[in-house]
Amino acid sequence: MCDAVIDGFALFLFSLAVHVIVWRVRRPESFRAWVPALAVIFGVVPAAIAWFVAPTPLDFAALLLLHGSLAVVYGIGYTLVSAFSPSVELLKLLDRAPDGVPMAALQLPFVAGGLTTERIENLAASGFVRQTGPRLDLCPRGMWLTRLVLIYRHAIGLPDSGGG
Amino acid sequence: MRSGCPIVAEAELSPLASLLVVLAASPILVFIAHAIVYRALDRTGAKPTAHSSAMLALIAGFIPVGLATWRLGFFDLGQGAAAALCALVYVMAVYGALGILYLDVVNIAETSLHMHLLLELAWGGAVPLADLLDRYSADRMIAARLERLTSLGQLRVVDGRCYVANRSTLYLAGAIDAWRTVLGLPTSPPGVPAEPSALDRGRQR
Repeated sequence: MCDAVIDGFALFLFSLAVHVIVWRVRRPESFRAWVPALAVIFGVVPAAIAWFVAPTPLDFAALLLLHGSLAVVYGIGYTLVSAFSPSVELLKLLDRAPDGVPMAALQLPFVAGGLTTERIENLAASGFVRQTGPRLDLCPRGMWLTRLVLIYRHAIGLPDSGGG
Repeated sequence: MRSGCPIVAEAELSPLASLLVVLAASPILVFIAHAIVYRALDRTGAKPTAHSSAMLALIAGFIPVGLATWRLGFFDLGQGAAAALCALVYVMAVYGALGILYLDVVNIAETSLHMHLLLELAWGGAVPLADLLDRYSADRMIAARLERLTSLGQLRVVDGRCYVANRSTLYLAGAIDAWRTVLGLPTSPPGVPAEPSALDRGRQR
């Protein structure tokens, strides 16, 4: 088990080092460029290394489960690094005001900008929604995804029209 | 108990294989625990959020995973304290990482603006774009986040003024900013000056 822990963390740190070097040399700007880049850096390369390092298929699985779970979390968490969370920026704003901020005066310039418009453009470009005249409608791909998320929300017990 | 029958014995999983199956299946366990915890809290009138109930479910889910690991003999000190410690680190790292992954799923279903725009269309049918932009005004987005952050204990509202109540998210934000710097990414959104936070000010003092 100690080998799996040491090799798993070493593999993840190696992937992070490669990631930093690649990003420092030539950082992929768009979502469509950085997702495959991260998949190669955190998926393909470490899996090949693990195959040669692990003595048995079970050790390979143990190594890959540790590295893989850390890598997937990093991959999804990278969206937090590459984009800005309104909640975090709100807390940062309050952190800069030790005397507090009146609720009515709370403003986030980047939210007031075209954040929603930008998201709608992204969804339209990815084929999830379409604009028909002045109205916005779900495309089949969008329907499929919302159905899946609604099944999850209802299974947990979350009410409709919540969140956001 | 290991079977004496050679055919069945061949089909039995080794302790390591069993542990990997338990860990890989742990998000399903957390999902079930989440559904139970959310409903239980809702019935008691505790007004749970998707996130606060998910965190309780993650804690509850670790109990059977920890017990299973113990039953499989990985915490047996007879194998040496180092081996038991490695097993604990391995289980906590994998369970923790999969737990964060589960919280990411909760984020997508509950707070992601992309997903919420799609859900608005699913709930209300085709919507005029102007109405949607109005519904997702900056004021409404800030109000939803104030409610959520207050519920999570991250901020408090006293006499109409908002204050930071818990620094845990800010510490995480500081770590993310540090990592952005390592990767050569900007640390503040466009239009927002990169002012030092209280954390940075504290360090400068």
